[in-house]
Amino acid sequence: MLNQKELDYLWLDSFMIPLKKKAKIIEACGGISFVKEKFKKNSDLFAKILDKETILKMESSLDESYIEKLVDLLNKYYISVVTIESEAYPKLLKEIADPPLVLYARGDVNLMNQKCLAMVGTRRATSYGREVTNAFAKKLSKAGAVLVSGLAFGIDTCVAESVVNIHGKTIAVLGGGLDSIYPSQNDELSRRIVRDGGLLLSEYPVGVRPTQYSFLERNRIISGLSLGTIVVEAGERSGAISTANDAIDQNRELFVIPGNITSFESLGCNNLIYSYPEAFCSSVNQILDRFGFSSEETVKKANIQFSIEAQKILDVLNEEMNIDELAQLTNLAPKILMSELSKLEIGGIIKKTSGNYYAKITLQN
Amino acid sequence: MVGIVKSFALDGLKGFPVEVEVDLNSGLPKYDLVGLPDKAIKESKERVQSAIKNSAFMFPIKKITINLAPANIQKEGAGFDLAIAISILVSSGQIKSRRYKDFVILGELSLDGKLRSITGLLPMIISAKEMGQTKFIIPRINEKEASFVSGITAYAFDSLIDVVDFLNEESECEPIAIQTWKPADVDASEDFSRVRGQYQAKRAMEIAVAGGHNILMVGPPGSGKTMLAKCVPGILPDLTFEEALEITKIHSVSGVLDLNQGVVTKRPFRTPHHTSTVIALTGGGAKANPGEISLAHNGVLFLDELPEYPRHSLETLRQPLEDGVVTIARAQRTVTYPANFILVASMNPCPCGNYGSKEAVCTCTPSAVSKYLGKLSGPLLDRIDIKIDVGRVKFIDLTQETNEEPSSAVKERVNKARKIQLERFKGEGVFCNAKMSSKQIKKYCVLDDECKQILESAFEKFKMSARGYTRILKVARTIADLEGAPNIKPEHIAEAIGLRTIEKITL
Repeated sequence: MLNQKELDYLWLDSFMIPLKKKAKIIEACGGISFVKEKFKKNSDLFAKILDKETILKMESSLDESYIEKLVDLLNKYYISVVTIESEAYPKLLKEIADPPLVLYARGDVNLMNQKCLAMVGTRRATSYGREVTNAFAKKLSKAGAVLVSGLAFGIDTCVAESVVNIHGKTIAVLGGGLDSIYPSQNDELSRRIVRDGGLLLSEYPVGVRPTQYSFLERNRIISGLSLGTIVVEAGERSGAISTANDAIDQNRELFVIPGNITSFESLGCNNLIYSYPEAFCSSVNQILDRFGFSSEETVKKANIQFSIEAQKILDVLNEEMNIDELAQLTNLAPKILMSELSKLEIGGIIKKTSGNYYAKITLQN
Repeated sequence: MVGIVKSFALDGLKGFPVEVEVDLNSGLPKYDLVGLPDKAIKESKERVQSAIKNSAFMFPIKKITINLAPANIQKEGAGFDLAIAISILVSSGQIKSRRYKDFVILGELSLDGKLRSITGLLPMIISAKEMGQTKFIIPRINEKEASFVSGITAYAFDSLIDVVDFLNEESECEPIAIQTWKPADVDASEDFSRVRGQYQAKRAMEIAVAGGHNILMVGPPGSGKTMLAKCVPGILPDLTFEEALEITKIHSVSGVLDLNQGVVTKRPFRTPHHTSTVIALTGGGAKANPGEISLAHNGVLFLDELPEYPRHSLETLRQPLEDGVVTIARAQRTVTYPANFILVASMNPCPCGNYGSKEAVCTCTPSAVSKYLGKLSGPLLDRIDIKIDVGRVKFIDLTQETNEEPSSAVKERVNKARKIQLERFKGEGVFCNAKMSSKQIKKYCVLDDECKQILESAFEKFKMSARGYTRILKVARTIADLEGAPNIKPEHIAEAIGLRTIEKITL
């Protein structure tokens, strides 16, 4: 059951009033509890801040049935409400310049006050980005960190998937209401997140569709919830760059994974490192050490006997290589080469990337 | 007197006998044609009249009634012209000998009395032979088509006069000499020796052709997918006469047969454009004609840019891919055509073509990529045994002099592998590994412990489906056959596992 304060917040939040104006109204009325009352008595104060249309809408929504409908909607989608005045509201998020007044959540709200780390990146992830994300996310999650991401395509999805695959806990902050997951392809993933004890979070009420701007606004929550933000792979104009800037504005730690200087999807990352050299991050241990996470896991080095052919392949495979190049360098017949590559791939020694490229797996999951 | 002449018509690929009966009655001059003729047969009146007149015979000025018996089956085409003309000449007493009674008479007439070619001659002759008819009169232009059928006596003529002289026993001529059939030398437009690099793709092609597996190539534009596909005719296994006859029947019915060849001498390689309609692909229309998939019977159907084909067109391929035949049901008739082909398909990984490419940036939105790949349904992809990535060849590869294996060498291996398969499946109604049933897979794809272990770990690693499992077994069987190995070995399994794509289309 929601208490009166929460209901009041819910009421005010339902009119799509910009955050700053909402804060102004609450201040002018002397607290959320008095807003409705003041509005009933005298809407002049509101006329100065809000436009006519919103005021008309508010006037027609004063009866109890309006609130009941709002609550019904929340129940329908299993959404709980965390207001800025409640216990469960994340302490770190409260510290930022413009914290959302209300958070809509599905899942375990206690996660928000645990040690959170944001992990973001491009929507067009390369195999390198996916590999790094997978390795970092699994390690961080196992060490006890709650990873926060935006459930977008690419790196964000990879973060959530990596954590869910080991049944860890993760927070996904959405850019629209929790009634519909965007992108819809991640609908199933969002359910898996909640099933495994994770959390879906949004500052937007039910029914609000995500927009270009809402994604940017959402980014401040991702970084604001977290002790630090890890940027895995980001193009020059990626949204992840804005999250990184939010993190800096909020005085949070920033970790940027460098990328190939020829890769378009790492341009933004490399630029960030140029601007903030201390953000350079090349190992997950850097992050673990910085926040006092313990990584009790020791990497098991597999002791495998390779065939002569496999050894030949591993000897030349120092960078990502096309199967044709491998054939030339190893002088192996295509059929032998392919069969050996498959065996190495199954053994987890190498991986197949797109377009018939192969690479050694260097990061241990 | 009633003239009755034997002729033949087609229903799908099966012929049925038709008797052309002509009766002359007194009354106002009239020409009545009955027995469910189509438009082309009805119009025969004008051709027959002119041909008879211009061949210096007399067209009877009487009430002429022509019946095509059996009267309840629809008949099509201009192949009855000659039979009708002969029948009229018999009934009007201009042909006196009884010789015509021995022959099945087929041919179209031109206005000046010359004989024109007809479509579907070969299937008609073969059906007639099965029904005990062995003597034929056919147009000279179709001579080659009949010359490969043994056990028949066929006479080819140029004009109506020649036919009448022969039937009147005024002239004698030699029947068509039976020829022995020989497959043509392959003249593929491209040869593997001209394809630089792309070892995996070439190897995958070899395996696909050797085992009759369908194959899908995924790669950015300019990576050589189409060129690789054009190499396929050069490595297809040798055609047998039985197969050639099957192909010829279909090609003859749809009128695409090369009449100078008579019988097809090489496996078909059909490349329908992606604007082709469903009916053009699968067959149909008012006459239920064979479509591209039947024209590709015993050969290759190449679909370039697979997702560009309308989805419902692609979905219609599912059943033929499974059964090797397509049944076309129309209001008037239901026809079954064979459609046993290897599907070779190519596609870009996304609309711009550069998704996952190392050399260029993909400009597509993620949803555009998933929408593009979503055009191919799971069931369709399930029927494609081999799916490979084809990357761009680096400049350095193109400039280097290399010794690439020519198609002829690959073809030799393919032939050997096919022979092993024919031997193995003798009497089981299956001719290649790709068409094995689950029972046969169990029988012929026996794995030792090491193979099982590889397969098991691959299963876990790549999250494969049960269908993926049988696909790998079938492909591994083919790889073993290419080597002449009686049992599947670990390296065969490993190579088969490598023949799949990563990313979303992995199934």
